[in-house]
Amino acid sequence: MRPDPVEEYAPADVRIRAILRRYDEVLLRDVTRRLIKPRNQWPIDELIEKSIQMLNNPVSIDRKLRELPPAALGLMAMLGFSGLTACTMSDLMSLLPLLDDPDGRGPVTALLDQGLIFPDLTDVGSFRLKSFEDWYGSSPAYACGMVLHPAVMTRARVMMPRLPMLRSRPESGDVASSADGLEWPLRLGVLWQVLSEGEVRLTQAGILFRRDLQRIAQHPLLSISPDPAGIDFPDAGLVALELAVGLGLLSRKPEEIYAGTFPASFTGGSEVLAGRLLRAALQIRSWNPLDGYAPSEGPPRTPMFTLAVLLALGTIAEDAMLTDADIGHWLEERRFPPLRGGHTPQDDIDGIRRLLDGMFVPMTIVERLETEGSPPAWRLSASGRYLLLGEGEADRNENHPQSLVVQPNCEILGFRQGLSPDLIQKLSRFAQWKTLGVACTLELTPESVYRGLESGLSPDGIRETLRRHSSMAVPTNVLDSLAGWSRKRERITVFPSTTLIEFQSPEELDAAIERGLIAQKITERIGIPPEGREIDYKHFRLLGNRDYESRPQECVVFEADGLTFSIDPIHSDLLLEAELVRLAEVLPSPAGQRRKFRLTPASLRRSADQGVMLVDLERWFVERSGQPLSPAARLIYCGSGNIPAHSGNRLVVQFPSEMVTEGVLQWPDTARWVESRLGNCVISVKSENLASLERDLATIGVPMLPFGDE
Amino acid sequence: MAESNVRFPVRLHRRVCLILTEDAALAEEVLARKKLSGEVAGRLTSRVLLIRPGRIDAVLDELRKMGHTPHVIGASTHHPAVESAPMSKES
Repeated sequence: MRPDPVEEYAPADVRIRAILRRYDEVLLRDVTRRLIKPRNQWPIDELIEKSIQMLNNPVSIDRKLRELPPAALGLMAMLGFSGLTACTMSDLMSLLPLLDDPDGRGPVTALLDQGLIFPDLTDVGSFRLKSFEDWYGSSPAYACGMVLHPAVMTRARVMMPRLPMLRSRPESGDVASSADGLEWPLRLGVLWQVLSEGEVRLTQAGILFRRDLQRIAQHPLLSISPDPAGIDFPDAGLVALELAVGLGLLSRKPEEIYAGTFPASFTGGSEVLAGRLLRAALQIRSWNPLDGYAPSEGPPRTPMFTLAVLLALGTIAEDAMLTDADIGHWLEERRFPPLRGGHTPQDDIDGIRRLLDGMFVPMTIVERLETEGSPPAWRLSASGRYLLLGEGEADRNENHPQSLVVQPNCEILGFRQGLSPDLIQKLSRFAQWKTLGVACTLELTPESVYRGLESGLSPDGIRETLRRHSSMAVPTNVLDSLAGWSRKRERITVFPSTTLIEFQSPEELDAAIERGLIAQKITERIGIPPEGREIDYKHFRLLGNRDYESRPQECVVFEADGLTFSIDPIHSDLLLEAELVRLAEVLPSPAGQRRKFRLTPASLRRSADQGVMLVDLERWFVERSGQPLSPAARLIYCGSGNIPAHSGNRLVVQFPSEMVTEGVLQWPDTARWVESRLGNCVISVKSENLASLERDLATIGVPMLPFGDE
Repeated sequence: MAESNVRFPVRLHRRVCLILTEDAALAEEVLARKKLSGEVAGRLTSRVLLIRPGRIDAVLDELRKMGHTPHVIGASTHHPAVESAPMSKES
């Protein structure tokens, strides 16, 4: 596939450089010896850099490709045709039957050995690859990822004529399809809106939960057949989902798929988007044209089956065509893996027709030709030949008349001939799609306009889009509504993760604002630097640097009373200020000294009233002082749990040592007179028992004297 | 014009989550909402509320439930609107 203007090779260079670093030195020297033929014993890093340079050099690539055995060259040509930059070993193996002399796994091994394709070693930890056989022998073929360099794939495509040709029919009949290439972009716009309202959750196995599956599959705009003639195209919404993920419009995490931003391909013209959609279509894995959504743990058959169908059309002459049966029989003869197990040849033919009519005709990659009395046939369109074979020129005629009609009830009528991918992405962001058809309808709502503004559009940008594309003046009440909805958004501004700069004095903050270092004043000493600009540290001397998503820092030092504390100004933060207001009372402190606070019954009662619980207080003590909650603070916060203290007159007896006390408490003759133990060496005795205790102690030689007589 | 070679002694507070309201009454309205008041760590001024770290998604959801359309600047969540807004390099 022809690279589009938004294509860049740099990411592939980075990825392949990382992969080569995971090669064992012996293997790396072996591969690079064939790839770049070094004359000396170059260092590893130099070998890798020279290899990357070679992969970006069309002349060197062409020379390298011509040296390949025919089967390996044929495989490269098919990969080049696909435009894919990643696939699996299983994908490559499934393409081999299309070659005249597949030679087992030989072509794949040859391409790995020659350094023209690479094993995906992205997530292998510190593993060093010693041989390719070890790598693809250790996992199922569908789990062995391959990385392809787009520059190499572009050159490989020109080798297409070497593929075994398929017998075709001479072109006859009329082009029956009237696709404009916008069907799928429109559906992607609708899908983006659906996911903007809520992400799609995935199970641990990576498949959609039933609720989300139904939400997408049964959506009124997404579920209709993309073919105007209404061919059965199961789960069209799920195809849109896969296309959107492949395109980068939706982002996928292990547990969910969520709406991202519209990729640059939407603004690069119809041809660019068609190329990206084509590539995304070749990566659809959880869907097949017979069963619809059908994720499987094994190797998905749809991507390579789809590629084989396009390859069939790509191998025939420009003025020839093929029926679905022609392609089906060719694949069957070649023993190409069918779309699903237990199939009949007719199943694959049905699948081919659905793929062509439902996916590639609406994308304008393929044209459908009809002759009365003959079955329909298909061929690559001019756009398809340009994108897949590099033939001809891209259609740069992007003529988009003013075809929107904005009505006073905030509905927008959009005539299809005036839409473009760029306009679709803009409309999708700020207006809600209601119907898709020759004339599409949308509606402006507060929510849709808010979504548009949050996606980066400005109120002026929305108005300008409507004005530029409207065939009539935009009604004043609509413009007023837009202005009102936009203003409402400015009432609350949220900074989810911003940097605040705290100055020593209000005067310094004002001076920094004057110098353009601060964009917005938050308090009299705190400001926000200009958005999107790196902080220029040459203007600042850092006294402290606190990351609020890290653990709170210890910045409180308690005094012996367990209630009074001072603040370490270097490590304190804004959260602490808020916590202090809630927990403590400020104490007067001399100028130049650390600020002091105290936990008081009133302040702790206030915090309890505001919902601070004992566990919060305990955590605060540990986080901020590194100490457990002090007994005094615990006493003030908890009290005694309403258990009363008691007072009264008691006689106190103090023994000379703890050992004596223990003995008195254990010996039954004396223990019976003890009322309670008050301390290590102190007990209390009722006054009427004192004489008895004194008598029993005397029998063992422990005299008792009144206090003061010792 | 202030001296351009003066280096200001400052403390940097990174990855702070804030809400700025148009007026103090709106901040009061936010604080009066039970589900939001628990997420507010403090009030820096009458119009500026400090949000607990990691609670921005819940705060945005609740603000939207209240019918507000907050202007989100910078990104910390995967909410599409947030992602596409200009992003601070600091964050």
